Amino acid sequence: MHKRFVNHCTIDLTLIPDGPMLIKSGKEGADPTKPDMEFVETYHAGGRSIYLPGSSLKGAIRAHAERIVRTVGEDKPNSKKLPWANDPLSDKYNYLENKSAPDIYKLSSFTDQIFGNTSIASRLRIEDAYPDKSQPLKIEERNGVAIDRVFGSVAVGPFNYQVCTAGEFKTKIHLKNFTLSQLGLIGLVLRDLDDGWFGLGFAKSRGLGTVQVKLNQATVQYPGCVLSEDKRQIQAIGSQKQWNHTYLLGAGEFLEIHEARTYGFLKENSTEDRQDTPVAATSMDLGFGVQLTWRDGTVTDLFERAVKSWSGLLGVSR
Amino acid sequence: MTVNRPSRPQPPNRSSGGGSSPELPPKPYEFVSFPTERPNLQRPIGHHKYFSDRLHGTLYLTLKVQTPLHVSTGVVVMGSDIGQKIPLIKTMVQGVDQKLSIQGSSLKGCIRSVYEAITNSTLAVITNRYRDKIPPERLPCRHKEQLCPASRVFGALDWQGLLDFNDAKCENISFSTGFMPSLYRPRPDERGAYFIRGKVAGRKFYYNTFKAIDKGQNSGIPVQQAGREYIFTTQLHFKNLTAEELGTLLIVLGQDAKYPMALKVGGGKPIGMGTMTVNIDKIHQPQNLKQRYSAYNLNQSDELTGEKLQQFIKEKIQAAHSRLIQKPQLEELAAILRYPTDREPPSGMY
Repeated sequence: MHKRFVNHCTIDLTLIPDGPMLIKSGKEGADPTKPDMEFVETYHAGGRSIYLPGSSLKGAIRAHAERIVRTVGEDKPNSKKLPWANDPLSDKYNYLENKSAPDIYKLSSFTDQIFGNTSIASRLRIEDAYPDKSQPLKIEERNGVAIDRVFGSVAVGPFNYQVCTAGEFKTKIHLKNFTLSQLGLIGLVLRDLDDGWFGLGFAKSRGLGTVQVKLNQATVQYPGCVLSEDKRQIQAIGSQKQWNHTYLLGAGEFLEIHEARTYGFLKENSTEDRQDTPVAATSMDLGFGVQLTWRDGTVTDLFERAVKSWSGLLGVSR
Repeated sequence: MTVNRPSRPQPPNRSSGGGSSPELPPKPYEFVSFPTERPNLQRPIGHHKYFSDRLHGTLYLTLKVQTPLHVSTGVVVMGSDIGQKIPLIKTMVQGVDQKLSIQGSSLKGCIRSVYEAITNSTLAVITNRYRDKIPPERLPCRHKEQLCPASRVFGALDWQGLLDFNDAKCENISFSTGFMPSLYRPRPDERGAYFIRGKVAGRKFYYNTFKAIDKGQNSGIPVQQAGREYIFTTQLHFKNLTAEELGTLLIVLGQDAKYPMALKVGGGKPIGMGTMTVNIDKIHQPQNLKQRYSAYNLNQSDELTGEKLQQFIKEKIQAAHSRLIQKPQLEELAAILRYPTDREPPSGMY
């Protein structure tokens, strides 16, 4: 089913260092005036600048998403139908061998369904976060030293490292063919990142890596749909399906019910993956496709609604 | 013409090895012995999930400077760079808003050293030169499946700890200038007190004193410092801690009325600098993780303050005393780090 494109969500966000942070480049340049540990750099917008690589962001987001799922769900497939997260580093994935595409998706853990595994691609994509030119970027050097607690003298070092203490990094997260509970989980991860429950990059346990998350805008698109003439209905092209124009729709809604179930989009006891929102759908550019947009300050509303579907999956009625 | 160049210091009298010479003041430090039993090495709990039978949350701390504090950046700048008239000054970290801050790593190191001393733990880092002088069971943990109590909480080689420190930020906008006398490196080869029967004697801690020595502009090294009564605030996140681990941390932060201690942070410890007392303003602790992860908007009632907070602290400290704390080491340490105190710093060359 993933050869079709049913829905897509883009979350536009800004990461603001809340104290020092360092994503190490892992290489030490030949320039002796540079610190022992440098920030990753790339060419961007006509010059060299530091940035937060998408891979670093995705790793941190995935790790926390898995942590949440294991905390309130399970770490193995279970009979209670709770979401589960495997250990992707040591999972041999033999339960996915010689399976059909729907089965591979269905048998993969909840987090693998979002972030991918050796048999399915990731449905979440995150862009590198580049510094916003309009905000001054501040980079400084810090020194550290390890103290021997027996003699009180220097055991290792001194060593120095580069940190970024101010600036704004802009990035986007894209989710395609998502279910609302997947979107809800991403919302919870971003909330926790903003709350300081996990950090990014080097030396998380000693003061580096906490950021503030500013949610700028979110767009949810249904490329295979059009708005009805009176703009009160979202209609699927080539099918009888239609929905109210304010509905946030998960992937399961766009499929015939038996197909949705073969992928495990809809659980046996539920028939819908939708939430009503205060946002009205508009047409996408080029005449077809429908989109809902949450502007600055209202993106949390999107997550609140998606988290309702997520908590439904946990069996918590809200 | 420079006016504040310190006079060239005379090195301490080396012939007085052992510190028993009557003309020298006593050393401003003492050793906390290692527990006699071997450390209990266990598998750490990990980060992969929040366990429902463990504690997670955030401590909101206020640190109050009792004797001037200087946590060095390692950089000496011209006084004019930070708005001072003196020619050269050793600096502290200043944030984007020019407020002083204490690096999270400094705070972590200071807290970890106390935690290690009062639990049956190994040393975290050692000087290679003295490796053969260290009791083999006190060598740093090497296998991440077998960690000592402190390494399980603070981390070890290839293993991230359960506590997340933040930089402590100063509430005052200004800073003061102090003048430290010249200090000397430790001399384990000259002074016998570092060793007992060929092995190291224990962990070295400097006494808290009620004031610090300030040499004055003509004979001290100028340092940028946080003066008395300056306030720093910080947050400390914890996850997957047991009650006794959190309790031990709270004792380290001086919350046990029976063992009133203050932290000793930064430079100038021998001359009385760096004493900080800790106040816990509140603890954010989600009562129910299932609730936290089934709603987007957070429940404000997860904060512990006032009477409830005191009760919580008491319970955890109780647990620590019954399960994790090494009483003899705590007694030894509390005698050194006791605060308030009426101990004087050494005035001359010690």
